[in-house]
Amino acid sequence: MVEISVNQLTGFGLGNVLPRAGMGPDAVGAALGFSVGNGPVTSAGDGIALWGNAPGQWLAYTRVGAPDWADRLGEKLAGIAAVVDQSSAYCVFQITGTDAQRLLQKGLPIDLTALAPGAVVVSMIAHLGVIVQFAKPGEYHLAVFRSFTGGLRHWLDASIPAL
Amino acid sequence: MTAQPFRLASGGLIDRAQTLTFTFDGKTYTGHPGDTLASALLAHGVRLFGRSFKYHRPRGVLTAGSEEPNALVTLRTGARAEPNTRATTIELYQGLEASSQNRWPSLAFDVMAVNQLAAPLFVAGFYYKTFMWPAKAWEKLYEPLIRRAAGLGAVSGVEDPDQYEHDHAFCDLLVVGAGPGGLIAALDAARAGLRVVLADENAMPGGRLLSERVRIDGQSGAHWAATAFAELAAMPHVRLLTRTTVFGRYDDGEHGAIEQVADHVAIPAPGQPRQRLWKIVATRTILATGATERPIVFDGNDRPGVMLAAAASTYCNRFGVAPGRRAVVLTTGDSGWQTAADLLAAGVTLLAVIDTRGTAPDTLAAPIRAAGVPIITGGTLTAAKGSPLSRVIACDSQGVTHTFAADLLAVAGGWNPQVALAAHLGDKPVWRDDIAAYALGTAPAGLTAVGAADGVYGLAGVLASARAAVTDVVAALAKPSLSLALPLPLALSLPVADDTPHGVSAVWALGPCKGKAFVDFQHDVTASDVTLAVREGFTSVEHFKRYTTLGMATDQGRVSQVNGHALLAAATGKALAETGTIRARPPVVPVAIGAFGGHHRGRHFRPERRTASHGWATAHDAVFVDAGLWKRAQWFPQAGEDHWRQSVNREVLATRGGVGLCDVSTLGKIELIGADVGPLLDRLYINGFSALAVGKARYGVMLREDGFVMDDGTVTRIAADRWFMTTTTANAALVMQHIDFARQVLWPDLDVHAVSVTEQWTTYAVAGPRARDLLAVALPDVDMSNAALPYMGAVALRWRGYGARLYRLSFSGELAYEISVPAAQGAALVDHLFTVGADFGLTAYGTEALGVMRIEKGHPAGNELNGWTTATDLGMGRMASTKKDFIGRTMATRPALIDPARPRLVGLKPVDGTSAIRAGGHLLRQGADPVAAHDEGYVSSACYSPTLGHPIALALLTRGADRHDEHVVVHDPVRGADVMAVVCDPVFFDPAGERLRG
Repeated sequence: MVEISVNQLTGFGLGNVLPRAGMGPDAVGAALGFSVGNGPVTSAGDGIALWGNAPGQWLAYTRVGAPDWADRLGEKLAGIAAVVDQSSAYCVFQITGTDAQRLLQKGLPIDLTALAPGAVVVSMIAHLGVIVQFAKPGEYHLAVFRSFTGGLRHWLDASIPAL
Repeated sequence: MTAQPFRLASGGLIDRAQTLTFTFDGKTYTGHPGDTLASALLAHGVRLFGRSFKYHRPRGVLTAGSEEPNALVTLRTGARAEPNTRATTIELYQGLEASSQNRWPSLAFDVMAVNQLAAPLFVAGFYYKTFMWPAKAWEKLYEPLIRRAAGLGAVSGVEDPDQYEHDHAFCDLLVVGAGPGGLIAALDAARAGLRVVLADENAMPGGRLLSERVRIDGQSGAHWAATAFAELAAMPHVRLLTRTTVFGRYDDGEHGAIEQVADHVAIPAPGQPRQRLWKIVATRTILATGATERPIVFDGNDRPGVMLAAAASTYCNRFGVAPGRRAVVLTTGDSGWQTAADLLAAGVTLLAVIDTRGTAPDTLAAPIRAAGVPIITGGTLTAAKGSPLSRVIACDSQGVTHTFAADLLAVAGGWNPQVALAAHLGDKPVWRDDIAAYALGTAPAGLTAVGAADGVYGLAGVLASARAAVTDVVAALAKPSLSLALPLPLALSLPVADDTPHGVSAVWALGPCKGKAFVDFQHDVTASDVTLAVREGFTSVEHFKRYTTLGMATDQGRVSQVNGHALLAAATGKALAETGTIRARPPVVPVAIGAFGGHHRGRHFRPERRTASHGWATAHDAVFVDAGLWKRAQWFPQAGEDHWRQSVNREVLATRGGVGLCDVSTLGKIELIGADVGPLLDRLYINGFSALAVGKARYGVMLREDGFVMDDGTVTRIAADRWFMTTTTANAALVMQHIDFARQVLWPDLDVHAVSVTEQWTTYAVAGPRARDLLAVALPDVDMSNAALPYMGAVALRWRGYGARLYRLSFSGELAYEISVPAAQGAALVDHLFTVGADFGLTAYGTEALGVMRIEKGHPAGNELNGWTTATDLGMGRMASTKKDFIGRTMATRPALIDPARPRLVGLKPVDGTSAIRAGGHLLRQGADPVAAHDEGYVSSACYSPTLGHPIALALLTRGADRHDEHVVVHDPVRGADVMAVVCDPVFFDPAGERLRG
């Protein structure tokens, strides 16, 4: 029996966090009030998580983001990092269940068993660029550019019944 | 339905409790679960399975595995028909339908068998030698003839209804082959805690253990294999892939494998793929792929009833089928004697065992002799006769001829280690005299061959070989970075198994080989073809292969290659070590194209990008066009419009006369942030940007390093340190890459971040004289006055709480705006604008109308920004700053790029006012002969202008800027007659730009 759930999230906030010259994870962390890692890992605070998606850069994610969420975050990080709203740029799927890893491994050319919870991966599924955040065992966030959502849906629709 | 007269009374790994029915060439047969199509047909006494490729020779079953070159059939019917499927690997299922190939009107009576009479003509290189002249016959006669005759089997011609998918696996150790060596290797590694993937092409693990009457640890081989497999299956860190062939080995431990998920059933279960393509990444690889028995070349060696000895044993022991009634065994080594024993045990009448060696081990020969079977040592085989086989003619060491009335000739010609995977990265096998075969020399990094794949043939030796290899793997991977506990189970004793005799000798051909003595069965390459190729100078193994096509069929020469090389060596007087063997390439077995395609077929062949208004456009009957991966609305047909130009003309006129809306979200959008964005933009564009005021936009042109135009677009300064760039749709990724290169490699000291926001923003162009009025209602909080938002101005605003931007930009030449909102609000915004716009006659327009309006305005676009034009060619040379450096500046001053004779952008109008000018047409002076030397340029973009009421075009014409009002000929010999055109300014409409500034 396959146990998997795919939930396309709405109302989330997502934005690039780009440190100003001379600023790094410590400064960003100090402004946000939690320790920020430098690398493909998740750093989480109260209601916000930073997904390391490039050297010294992050995608800030919040499950529920107001329309001006990115602006407010930019104000918090004023002088430390710029924030570019990408809440509309991506569709984010929450994939949960004991078969979540098995499903994603079909598409991802990286070893998911090597990831620790919190790991962030910038990779490809079915020729589509994706960002995968390993939330916890049995739960992943999968972000894909909005315009490609149909393509990723097709992959999900074809791959889940084949599990 | 018929009985199974050749089915043994007992034995075999088949489920006799169940009976399956199937058809072959329309006739119904029965079999059992565990049978292959080949074994089930053999059980019925069927000997004839197909016709050969070139000579249409009758062919039977040669092997019992995936190396089968003869018994190729078409499996299934209709859309699921799959030609050239090996009967020896097709698992029997209820209702299976198969048919023979390459015959007409029937398998038993094939008219094309007449080809055999012309065999002296159909030699190696026949096509090359024959179809040389007359040259004009090639296209009309030879090629159609060859195409008609070529190929084996036929594809269904209709869409494959099944699915294929891709998957990935990662492991410490990949074991290829689940025979005794592979099972021991996998068990040892798994017990040591390594992540193991074990792949085997068969449904049932065990390899040769399933085919031989051997015992391990006091159990039958099959039972021992099943027990080992069950232990592996219980380990969570082990993945077992049955029905899976590892077909290729690539860089960095990557392997390609094909899993036949549902080939053993009539129709895959709903949602289930027929096949799954695996990419397996392994730190180490153990090849336990075994060895393939090779035939011997002699006259008539392809006759139905001539079978490899190991296959004969397999049919007896695994499938409980007697492959014949009266058999002769021909062997060059010890393994053939085991087949002789198997045939006797199966009740087959054994007429003789012919060993080409002078002596045979008495332990093998004694039981055969005791059964009263004549033994001929030092003998040879002269010919096999009959179709199917009815006579075997042999000669003993004294030269006495013996004729046996046999229907089965089991041939044991030695063994070829299966090391093709090891060779895929360039490591060629080397000749080993001790096993009379090519095997791995120095194993490639990360890979070890064990057991028969390494030339170790005795069962106990195979187990020990695998154990040794795993010991090395465990030692190599036992490092701190590997977080697995690695106990050392290797002290466990190996299973007890007899080391079966496995002597070999090197014998390749017997008898005169003057008739049809085949080397490559599937491509009908004979011994005389080898001789001919050598005579004609094709003496390198690679040339020889290509000239004769030996080994180039779907079996990849697994049974034929070495015999071919041996005959080549003999003909050239070289040793096999000197001749060498060919370089193996993936795939090891045929892999369906569909498996490589996976889900990417039909409209999913490549990714598709949809804008936020896609649903709205679809609901309004838009016709879409591909713009890269994007789907863009091309036009919106309405009732009564039966030609696309009617729709486009209406959209243009409605926009120029009122207001229109176009989704321009596909343009590339890049946000640039930092203190040094201005200086970076100055270096990227030919014109200056540093001084651009906040709230203002500017058009810019950027060059490639070589001085040609790369892209154009606008840049808007959103804040002191935040800028927003647009690019063309086609060059969005290229420009992003260009910027990243500039800021990360060329000028890393600049304080600039750049990030694509193409997906974040949905942007609609709202254009036309009533655009301002419409937006004033749609965005009541925004001051739309010319003073507050002048041409090339921009303001930030909130729309339904979300950040939005309004730009006063115009591509159409009209009073126009571009409004951007977060893409998640894009669908809502288009609804809102059309709701408000109903009072203003808002009209949706697509890319076609967009293109018409930009041609009317003389704006260069993709057709002009084609990589061959300079800024000056496009009339924008004066934009280039002389006060700063920028990418491409120096190279743009090369003599050839500043030559006044270069084609320059001009407008064209038909002199008669009506004739269409087609893009692509070449420009000639009046009276000039239409030859390339007189070519003065070409039409880059053309359309009918509904605004002006006649066709117009943009063109690149030599010295074009100086030739306004001159008449030129638009020469278009392919699509239509020449058109006389007058050269004019490229801006056809509102040259003063009054409308866009209004």
